[in-house]
Amino acid sequence: MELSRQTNMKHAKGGYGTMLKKDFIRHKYLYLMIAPIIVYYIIFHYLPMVGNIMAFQDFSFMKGIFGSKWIGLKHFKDFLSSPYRDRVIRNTVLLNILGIIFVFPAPVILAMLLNEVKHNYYKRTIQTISYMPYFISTVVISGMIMNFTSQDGFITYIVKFITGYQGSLNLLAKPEWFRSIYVISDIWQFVGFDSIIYISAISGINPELYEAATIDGAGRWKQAIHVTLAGIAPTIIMLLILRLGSLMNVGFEKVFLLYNPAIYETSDVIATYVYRQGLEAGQYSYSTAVGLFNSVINFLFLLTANMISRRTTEISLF
Amino acid sequence: MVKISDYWDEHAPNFKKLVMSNPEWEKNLKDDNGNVWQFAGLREDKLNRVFFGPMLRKDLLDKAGLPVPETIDDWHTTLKAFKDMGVKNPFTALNWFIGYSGAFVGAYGVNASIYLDDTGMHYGPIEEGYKQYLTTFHEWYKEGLIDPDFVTLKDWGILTTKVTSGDSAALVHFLSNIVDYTEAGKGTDPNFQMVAAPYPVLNKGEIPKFGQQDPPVAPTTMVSASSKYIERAIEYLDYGYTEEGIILLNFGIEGESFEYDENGNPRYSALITEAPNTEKGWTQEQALAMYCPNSGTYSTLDTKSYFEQIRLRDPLQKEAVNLWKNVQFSSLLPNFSFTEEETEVAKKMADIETYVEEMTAKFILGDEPLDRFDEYVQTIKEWGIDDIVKVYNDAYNRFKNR
Repeated sequence: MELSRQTNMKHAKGGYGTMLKKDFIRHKYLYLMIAPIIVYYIIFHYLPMVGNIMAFQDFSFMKGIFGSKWIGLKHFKDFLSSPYRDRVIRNTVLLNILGIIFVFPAPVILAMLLNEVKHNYYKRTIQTISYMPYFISTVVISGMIMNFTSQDGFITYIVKFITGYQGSLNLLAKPEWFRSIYVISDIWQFVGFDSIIYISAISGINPELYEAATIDGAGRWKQAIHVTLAGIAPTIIMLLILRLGSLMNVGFEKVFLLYNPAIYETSDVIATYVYRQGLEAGQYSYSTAVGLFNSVINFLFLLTANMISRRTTEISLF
Repeated sequence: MVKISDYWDEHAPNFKKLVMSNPEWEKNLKDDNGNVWQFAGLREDKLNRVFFGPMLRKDLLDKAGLPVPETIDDWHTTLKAFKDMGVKNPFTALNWFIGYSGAFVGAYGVNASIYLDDTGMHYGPIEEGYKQYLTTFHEWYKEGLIDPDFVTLKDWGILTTKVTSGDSAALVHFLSNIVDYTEAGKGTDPNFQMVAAPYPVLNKGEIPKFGQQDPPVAPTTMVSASSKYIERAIEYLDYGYTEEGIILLNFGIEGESFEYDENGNPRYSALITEAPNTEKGWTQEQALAMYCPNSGTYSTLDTKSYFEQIRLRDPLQKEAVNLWKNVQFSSLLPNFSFTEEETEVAKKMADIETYVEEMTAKFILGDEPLDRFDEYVQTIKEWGIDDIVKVYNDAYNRFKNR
C-alpha cells in the first residue's frame, strides 16, 4: 500500500492541492483518526504560543494581550541581571545532567536485566512492582518522600545510622541532600515505566542473532553487550536526543512540592522561579519571558544533539 | 474589565448605597482615581475579619499549672514545660503563618515583610527587631522547642496530625481549628483541649503590635468589557446587596435553613445547627453550603450574625477572637494600588522575598550564623529595598487621602 501511494502521488496530475485532495479521499479514515490529535496540538500547543507575545509586553489585565504596552526585550534583560539568574540556571541544568547520568540509564539496565530473567512469573512480578510508583500522582509521591525524609522518616533513620548523626534531622531542610533525594526518587518513580519501551525493543531483536553469537562463542555477558545493547542502541539514542531537548526543563510539580526556602540554594529551578515571579508576585510578562527564554535554549539543545547524532551515528529524529 | 462605578448609578444602586454607607469600605474599594473595578464581600464587623492567631493545648497548661502565655518569656517557659512533659516538638506551624499574622515577630515591633504602622510602611526583615526575633527562634530551635519540620511543612493535613497526635502542642493557625483539633485530639488524649493565646508581647501588659485582620472588603467579581451583557451581569451581581439578597446569600431559605426569631433576626434552623449530629456528620458550614455560599468572600454583605452563629458558635472561639482582635495594627496591608512606574519598582520585591525566606530559614536552623545579619541587610539594601519601601509609602499616602 505504501508503495502504491507513493507512485500515486508522483503521477498525480495538477498541483499539490489536487494531490492532497486525492490522497485525502483515498485515506479519509486515516486522516479522520489523526484529526483529534492535530486538533489537540493546535488548541493546546500552538494557539497558546500566541501568549508568548506577552514576553515582549508590559502585560496588564485591564488592557488585555492586544492592548498592553510593547517594551521589547526588557524582561529578558531583567532576568539576565537578576541576582538569581546563575543559581536557577545552574540548579536546572545540574538536576538534568544528574538525571541523564543516573536516571536515564536505569530503565535500560532494568530492561536488560529483565531480559536475562528466564522465569516468566518472576519477571512479570518485578515489572508490575517497578511500574507502580509511576501510576501514583506526583503529589502523593512527594508527600511520601517528605514523610520518609522528615525527622521521623525511615530514610532519615538510615542516614542517621550510617553517618552516626545525633539529634533531630530533616533531610529536606538540608541543601546538600536535595539533589540526591530528587534523583533517587526519580529513578524510583520512572524506572519501571520507562523500561517498557526498551523491553519491547529487546523483544524485537532477531533471536537468530543470539544463536549466531552463541556459535561464535559469546557468553551471556558478551551477548548482552553485543546483541541486546547493540540492538536497542537506536532506541536509546532517540530517547536521549529527546531527553537533551528538555535539558532546561525540570518536572515543575515535584520540585515545587518538595522544595522550601531553606534549600532554595540547590532546589530553586527556572520553573519554580517563574512560578513565584509570575503567579505569586503577579509579573505575568516577566515570567513568560523567562519561560520563553527557557524553551528557546531547550530547542537549541535539541537541534545540536540531533545534529551531532546524525553526523556520528546516522540516527536522528529529523 | 469595566469600571463598576461607571454603571452603578443606574445598574447597581444597592451595591453603591451599601459601599457609600461605610467610609472604610469605600476607601478600600476605590482606586486612587475614585473608580471601582470590582464587586466585593463587605465585612460588616471587625469580628468578620479576625480568624487567625496563636493557640495551644489547654489540658497540658493545666497539667503544668501554667496560665495561658502572654509574653515571649511566658511562651519560653510554657514550651519548655511542654517539652519536659514529653511533647516532642512543642511549637509547630507553617512558616508563612508567622508573617501572615505577625505573631511572635510582632513582639519585637516588626513583621516578616512590608508592614504598616502609625509611622507608615516599613520593611521588617531588615530591622533590628527582626534580628531579635530570629535570635529567639534560633535559641528555641536549638533547645528543641520548635519543630525541625518547621521550614519544610506545607501541608495543613500534616500539621493537623502533628498537633492532634500530641507531637506538637502549640501553633499559629485558623480559628476553626481550636474546635476541630479539640474534637480530633480526643482520640489521642480524652482531655485534649485547644485554647487561644493572645498575640505574644515582650513585656506584660503591652498591647500586641500586630495581629491578623483582613481588610474590610474582599474583592470577588469583575465584569469583562467584552461581555455582551455588561448591564445584566452588573444587575445580577447587585442583587447580592439588596436586603433580600443579603438574607439569601447569608442565611439561605426561610423555613428551611433559617427562621426569624421574635425580634425579627434570622436564626439558623436545626437543619444547620444540628448537622454534625446527623447521619452525614456534616459541619454547620457544610450543611449551610447547600443553601448559600458562606465563605465570607462572596459578592454580598458578610454579616456579623453569620459569623456569630456559625464561626463563633463555640465559646472558645468567641474568646479567641476577642483576644486576637485586641492589637494595634493589622498584619495585612490595606487595598492600596500602585501606578505603572511604581509597579516597575515593586517588582524587585520578588527576588528580595526569596532571599529573605531563604535566609530566615537558615538563621533559625542555624545554617547561617546570626553574625551575618548585617551582611544580609546590606544585600537587601543593595537590591533596592529603600526605593521599594518609598513606593509603598507613596501608594499608601494616596490611599489615605482617598
